Amino acid sequence: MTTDNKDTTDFGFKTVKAEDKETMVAGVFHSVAKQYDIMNDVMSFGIHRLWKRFTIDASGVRPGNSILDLAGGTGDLTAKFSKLTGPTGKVILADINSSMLNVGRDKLRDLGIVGNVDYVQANAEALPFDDNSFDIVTIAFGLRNVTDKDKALRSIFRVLKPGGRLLVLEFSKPEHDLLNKAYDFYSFNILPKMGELVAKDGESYQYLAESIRMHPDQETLKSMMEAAGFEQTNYHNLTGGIVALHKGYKF
Amino acid sequence: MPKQMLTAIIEIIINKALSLDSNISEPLSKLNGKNLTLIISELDFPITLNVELNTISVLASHLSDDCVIHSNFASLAKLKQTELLTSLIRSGDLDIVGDLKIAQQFAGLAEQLNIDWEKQLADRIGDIPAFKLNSLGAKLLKKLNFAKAQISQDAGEYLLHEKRLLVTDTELRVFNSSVDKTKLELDKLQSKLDSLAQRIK
Repeated sequence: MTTDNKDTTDFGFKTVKAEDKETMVAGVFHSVAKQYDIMNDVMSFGIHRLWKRFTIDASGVRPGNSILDLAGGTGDLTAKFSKLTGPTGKVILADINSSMLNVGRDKLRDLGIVGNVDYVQANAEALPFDDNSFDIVTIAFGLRNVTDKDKALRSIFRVLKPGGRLLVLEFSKPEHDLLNKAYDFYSFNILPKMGELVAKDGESYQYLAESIRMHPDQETLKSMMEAAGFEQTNYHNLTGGIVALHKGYKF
Repeated sequence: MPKQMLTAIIEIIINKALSLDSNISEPLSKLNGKNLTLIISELDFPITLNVELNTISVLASHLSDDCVIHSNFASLAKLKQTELLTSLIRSGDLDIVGDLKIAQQFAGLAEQLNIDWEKQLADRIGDIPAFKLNSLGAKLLKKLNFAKAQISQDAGEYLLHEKRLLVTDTELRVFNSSVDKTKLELDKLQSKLDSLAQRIK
């Protein structure tokens, strides 16, 4: 979320020039791309797979759908959507970061997923797609890294077909104080050390923890989606609110 | 997310089992692009099996109306007996929407699955230990079956001859035949009484 001054924004707990954030986030993801999947499993104890399954179940995907997996990274959601939407459907794996996109493309090709998937390097704030193109847009663990989230939500709204839906899976605010404290301790004391140990990059995981704290909470994100034009917007807390799935429709 | 955990476990088990049978890929490929949804009354969510790229995805949501079965756990177990389908549908325990052939193909896939456990074991621990373990397993199974038959026979004799709580087959047959005979005599008597009653009128 941009701060009071539109020229600056947050980068974790730091305030940086808005135009610099993109490059700084890119640096983080260039650094972690190759270890991204293994780190996801280690950091979340594998629970990220269930959060993603929940997103798929909530998406209402049907064979033949056009789906945009935005900030799709290493392609976990794309792999599933590709099988469910079938040969008559289309999935676009989009990410601003070329390293993540390369890892995702290699992984999906190794899995034999080739027929109905395209890869696009794209900025969520200015999506290079026609209006009313997609039945479903998902952005999983990506929105918090976007410099101007309001602009990205408006851009997503534009490319969705009427009746289409956006699903935002993102870290959020735990519902209970005790869980919040335990989560803080884990994020700032254990997570960067795990990052150092497994991915040899503690700083990127320090940024991860900080960026999660700076991300809008459940109600704020819901109102941001509504401001962008989404209707019937709701959210579902997962794992006590550590993660939330927001869903909104374009009518 | 217990639903997602359940479907994830089912998905892993199914795909692992399929990967252990080298002959299953042909019948599986015939199901590519098809899906089956089970709406089971005991569960508050649907379970969808979708086949694509010779793997099965399991979802806790509805995907399409290719084939949707509404039923309960007890009736699902009876689906293999095709002669019961009509009575299950009439009783309201089963409702099928879409193409029944898809459900039959999925059922056929489960029946055709034939995993060579000895080979799987041999791949992991070597031929000789696998053979020995398999022989040991077969011997144990034989002994268990023998023990089961023995216990069943002993228990039968104890209840039949010592406690006299049960009757033998022969005694049961004699009793049944006596009942039939008595019924026949009663029918004859009834018809005689009816004819006498007619004459009196």
